Amino acid sequence: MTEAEGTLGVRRILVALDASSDSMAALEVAVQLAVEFRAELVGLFVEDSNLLNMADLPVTREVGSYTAVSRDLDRAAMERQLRALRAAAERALAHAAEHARLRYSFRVSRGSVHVEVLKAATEVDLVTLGHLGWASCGRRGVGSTARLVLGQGVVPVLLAQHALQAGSPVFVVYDGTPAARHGLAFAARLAAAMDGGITVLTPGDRVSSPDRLAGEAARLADEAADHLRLRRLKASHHMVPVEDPGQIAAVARAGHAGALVMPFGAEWLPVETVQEITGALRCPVLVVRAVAAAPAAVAPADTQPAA
Amino acid sequence: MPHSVPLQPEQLFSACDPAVFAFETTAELLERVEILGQPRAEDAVRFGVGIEQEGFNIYALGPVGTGKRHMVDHFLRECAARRPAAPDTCYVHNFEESHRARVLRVPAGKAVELQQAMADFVEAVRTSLARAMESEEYQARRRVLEQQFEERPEQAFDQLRAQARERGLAMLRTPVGIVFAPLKAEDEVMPPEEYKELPADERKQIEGAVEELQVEVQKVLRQAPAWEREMQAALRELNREMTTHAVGHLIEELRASFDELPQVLAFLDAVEKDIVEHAEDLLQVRTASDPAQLAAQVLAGGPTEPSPVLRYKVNVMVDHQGHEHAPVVCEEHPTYANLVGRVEHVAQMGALVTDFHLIRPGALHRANGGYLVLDARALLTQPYAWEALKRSLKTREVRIESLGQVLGVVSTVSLEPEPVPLQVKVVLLGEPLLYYLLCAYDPEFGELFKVAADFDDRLARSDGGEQQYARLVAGVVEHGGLRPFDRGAVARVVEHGSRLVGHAEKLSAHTESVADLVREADYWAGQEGLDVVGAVQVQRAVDAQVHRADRLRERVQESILRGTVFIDTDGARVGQINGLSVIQLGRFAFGQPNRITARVRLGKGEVVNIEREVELSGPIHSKGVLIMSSFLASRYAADEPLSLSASLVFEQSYAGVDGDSASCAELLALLSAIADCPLHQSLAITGSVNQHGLVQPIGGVNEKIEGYYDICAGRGLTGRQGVVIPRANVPHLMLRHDVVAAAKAGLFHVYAVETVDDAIELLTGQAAGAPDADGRYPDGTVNGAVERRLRDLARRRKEALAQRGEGDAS
Repeated sequence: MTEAEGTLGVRRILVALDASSDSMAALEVAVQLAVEFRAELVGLFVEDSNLLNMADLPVTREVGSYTAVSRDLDRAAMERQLRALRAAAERALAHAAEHARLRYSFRVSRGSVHVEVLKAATEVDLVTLGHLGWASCGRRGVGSTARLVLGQGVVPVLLAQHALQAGSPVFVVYDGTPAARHGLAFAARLAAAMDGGITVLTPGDRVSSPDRLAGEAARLADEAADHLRLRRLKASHHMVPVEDPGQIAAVARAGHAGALVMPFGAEWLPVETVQEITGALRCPVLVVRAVAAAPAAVAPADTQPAA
Repeated sequence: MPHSVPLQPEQLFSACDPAVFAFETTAELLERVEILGQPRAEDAVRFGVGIEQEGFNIYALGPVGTGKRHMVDHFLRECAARRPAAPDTCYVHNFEESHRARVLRVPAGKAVELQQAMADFVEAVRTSLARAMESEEYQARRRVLEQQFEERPEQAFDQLRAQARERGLAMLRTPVGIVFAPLKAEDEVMPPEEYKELPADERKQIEGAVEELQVEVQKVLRQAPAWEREMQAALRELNREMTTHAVGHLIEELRASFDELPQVLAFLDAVEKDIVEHAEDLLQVRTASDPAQLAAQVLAGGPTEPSPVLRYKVNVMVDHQGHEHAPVVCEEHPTYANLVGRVEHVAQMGALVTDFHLIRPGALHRANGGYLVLDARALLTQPYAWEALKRSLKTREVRIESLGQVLGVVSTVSLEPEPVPLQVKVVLLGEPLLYYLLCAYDPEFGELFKVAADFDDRLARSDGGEQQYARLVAGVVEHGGLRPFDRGAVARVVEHGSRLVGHAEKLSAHTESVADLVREADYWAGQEGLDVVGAVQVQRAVDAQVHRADRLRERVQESILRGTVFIDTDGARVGQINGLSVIQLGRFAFGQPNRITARVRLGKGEVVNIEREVELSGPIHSKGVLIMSSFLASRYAADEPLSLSASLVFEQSYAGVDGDSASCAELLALLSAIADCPLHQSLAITGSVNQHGLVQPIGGVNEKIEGYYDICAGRGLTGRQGVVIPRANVPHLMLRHDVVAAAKAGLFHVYAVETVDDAIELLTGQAAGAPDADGRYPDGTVNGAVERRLRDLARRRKEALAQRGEGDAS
């Protein structure tokens, strides 16, 4: 195994922290991966500039999210809240990293959250973040920051709600693309680390080849099996209908997946579907891009303000 | 028979003729027994065992070693074999009140079946439930429900967000709340400076909008708990539906297996209901090592709620699987807990906890539907065991309570298992004394133990008694794997049986003593290398038993023979006689002669019993002396005052004396002293005397004769020595062979007397004398001499009183 294969080029892992429970799960997964890849952890806490601006406005009042009690809000109070969160995030990072004897750093930036995360992502090899931050008011599935980072990131992105479960199988979607091959390598590494099995999901056309192991799906399965054999892994196989990639979530859930690895950028698997699948699963989901992909420019947010 | 003629040697010992036995050795005897016939007790036990009414429990009373237990056991097993096997008893969880474990009584063998079925059921339920919960149907329905309820706040917030956007506001989330702020651009909050520059109207409009939206968001947030509750209720309903389906067919199978047992069916209904309510608990099985669970139990205190898996299991208390008959239980250690059962505890997290699995049965549970045999002494010496037994018999149920609860000293909540209905026949085995004490002091005893099986300590030697002994010997031989006994040996055992009860016409019913003799004789036969036990070995065993026990007898006889204790066995002395007493040491008794002396002088007519003066005389002895005094006065001084003062004493006696068997000897000593007539010291005498001068029988006659014989033999038999006994004691004679041999050789004699006069003549060698028509005794007789001396004393007393009267007058 070469050095590149051993680390898969993962030397620094960014974990976006906002002290929400999902971000703590992301931290846990990041630590697990950092141990596996012997990588450095980079913690990032973003102070949302919108919140600070808003607190300066004389008109704003805050309604308690549990008590529903309305109270005054000013910039000093907002700063205090953010400082408390930042301290909690830093403490959690330090504790986790020191416990696992990892190198780590913690940085704080101020601005729009997803912009700051994407900016920081250019300096690392993998980004981990929670499905939902505390700012996801009444949302479920994947929050806005996660969606934007997933869509616009340049490095593999891992979204987590829970940590990796040892002994659970890793599910990997393989469609033969370079991103999928890269994903296969990640999946093999995860499977070895989690001491679980590996299941390859290949897209197939159920209309033209109703037999699960026939046609293109079977060919892809063989190809994946060849790759895995090199790593002395034996995989099981499932076909997912190319016309309904949303089935991936159902298959992974039924198989009690411990992690799911998906390629990014395939036509049959649009980014919305990837987001949807991620939102439907409780296990960590790793979305991998082609290794050679050039860093994309940070695109502006196309949705609502950092909610 | 003239009283001066000694008894014939054959009267001294009733030998058993070996010819009465039709066998050569006991090996030929087909009929062998281990207990001797006790017709009265047998009838009582048969009656007590047979009668089904309440309170007819049995108390088998009799000396230890009379075969009570053996006979009771024999009859109980005979009776139990005619009754069906008792039902099984088990405890199950009580789903309504967990601290009151429920009792199930099912036909024999069904408890274990139910236990196994429930264990299999729990496993099957978990698999079936897991499958149901993992099914696509359940998952999909659950997701739909969750989504439906999750969408509610989301939709509400989306609406609010849209409303806000329409009014140019952003809905933002802070770490602790929700805020509405005016927007500058698409996603940028308006900087404060810009806001301040807005026209006042616009600012007011924004403020109004923010306030309205805040009210709206508060409404949404306040509804959240209700939505949460609704979702939980909907999920519970879904779980219930899935569980009912998953468990239903399993429960149906169980119902089919136990459809004839309504109690079990009711339990299964409760199980089904509980599973449906606790399906999720069942899947997330709590284990005993789960610290949070344990801590919660400990903090909650009291009996623990068993884990879901344990809750449906069955604690089999009594299992009669494979038993065909009613149980016969013998509890050798009848403690309170061993009788009524107990609830055990296990230590968890420093506290003692329990559940229905830790209920343990007692002897009453095991004997329920059958018979329970208990030793009365063992039962009565165990604290609270007797009360518990009575309570159970009275209420006809077994209630398991700790002693702490019973006494009210412990009031912590523990398990209170439902009482088990009780139907049992109790047989107590004990000594007669305990029976009479219970009758006297426990008013409930008579109500609960109405049948007394009274075991005799002896049986008639005639009427088949000797043949029964032969069968008993054969039984002991067979049971112990011993050498067979020849007929001579059996005859010797029979003779010893008579000697044990001190009666030539009776045999001892103390089977244990007889069995011991048989075993010991076998031992000696083994020592001598014999294959068959003969009479010689039996005699050797008897001698060895005596030798092991007679150290003290030897000491007493030695002190007499050495002259330390004064006993004359020859010559004649006035006012001195050899009485006889018996000393009982455990199971060994021996006789010894005692010198009794009497002195008389002028006096006011009192007979001083020196033993009584110093409180060494028992009440019976004192009574004997008073009777004797009465006889003396009424016979010899009926018409004038008895004017003597006499004293009687047991010489060299330093311990208490009781019994009236020496009263005849005392009377003779007194008469000798009054008449100044010497008594033969070669004779000893025993017997009590009544107010008319008749000699009455006494106990321990064999030991007394042998005791005197041993002293005489030690000094050398003269042919004049012997013992005078009451005639009524002749049937009791079973003397040692050496005594009988000496009598045969004319060296030692046993005389039987009926009256004091007979004894006077034997001991003085003079005629006693019969009264004439005036009631006067003739001269030259002992009675005449006594009468004259007394008259003389009366006269002298009268004179003395008259002189004193004159003196007083002058």
